[in-house]
Amino acid sequence: MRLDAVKGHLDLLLLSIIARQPAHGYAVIAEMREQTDGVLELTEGAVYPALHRLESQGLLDSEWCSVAGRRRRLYRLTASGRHALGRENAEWITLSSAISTVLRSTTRAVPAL
Amino acid sequence: MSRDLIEAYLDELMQASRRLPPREARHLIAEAEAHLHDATDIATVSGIDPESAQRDAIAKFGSADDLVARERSHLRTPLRVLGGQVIRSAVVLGSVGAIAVGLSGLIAALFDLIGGPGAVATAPTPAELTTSNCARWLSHGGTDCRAAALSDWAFETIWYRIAFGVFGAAALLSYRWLAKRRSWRGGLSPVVNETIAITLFLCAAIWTLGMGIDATVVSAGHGSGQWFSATLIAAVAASILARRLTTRLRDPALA
Repeated sequence: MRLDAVKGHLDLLLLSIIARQPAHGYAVIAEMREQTDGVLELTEGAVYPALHRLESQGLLDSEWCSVAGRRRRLYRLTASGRHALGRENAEWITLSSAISTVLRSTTRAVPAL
Repeated sequence: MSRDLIEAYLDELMQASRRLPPREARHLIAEAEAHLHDATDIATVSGIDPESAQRDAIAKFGSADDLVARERSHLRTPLRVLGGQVIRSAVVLGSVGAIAVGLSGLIAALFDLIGGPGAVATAPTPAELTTSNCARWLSHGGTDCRAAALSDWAFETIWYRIAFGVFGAAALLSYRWLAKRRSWRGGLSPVVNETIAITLFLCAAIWTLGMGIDATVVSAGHGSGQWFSATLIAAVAASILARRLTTRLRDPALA
């Protein structure tokens, strides 16, 4: 599943992964791939600008550090980021449960599905 | 060979990143470099040949132009912020303009000192020399209505300008104080501010020069000092700002 499928939810996904522990861009993408068994495949060209945007909005903070001999920019959640994550998470749960309810009722009404 | 594709991509990214602020450009390139090498190393370890690994890693980043365009989209100044910058620049430019008017009042005072009120104020027309007007002008002393009118108008020309200049200086100082106290961000870029100021001062210099020449030709010099005093200040201000702008534009670090 490519970026189009997560469009609109990219911020939530990024904040959610970084909330667990500070991570650099490569680790965020790898973690997403691993957690979703490759279903959600984020592209680097979308992730880095999104990380920078979230940082400019004050939801993430970053610092440069050396990991395995390479300079990397490590992102961590700020207090505002944690707040935004909680809010977006609640919105997502409401939305996804509403969609699930509709789909379940459709499946019951049309058993062939 | 194994690093060539990444190097070429980073060169493209560097070229495209010229449209980004320096810090954002440096960070993006450094992050992209580390990421591309990570991705290539891991893919190579899993058995993919280095060139294909690099090609795959670069393909996921997309074109350098698209990447920079995405970066730029979140760097655009929001309209609300831009509005604030315009207002702050307008306050500073307006204050500087008012100070310039005040300085022209001082030059007009010098013309008055050298050439008398007739050098600063236009002579009253016969229609203006009415009994009531003369009574008002002569209330400050003197016996010649025409001379009293010139003196009154010259006084107004000089002191209204000086008062306006003092108001401008007070506004500028108040703005600076408030900006520091409330940590306001700056206005528009110095290049934009200076370009606007130079344009306005040049227009003012040309217009007042024309008016001064007209007063010299038509009114035998009466009142030309009020125009030429403004021409002098506007021309000096435009020259100083033009020098500053030139220095700024020639030095990329200042622009």
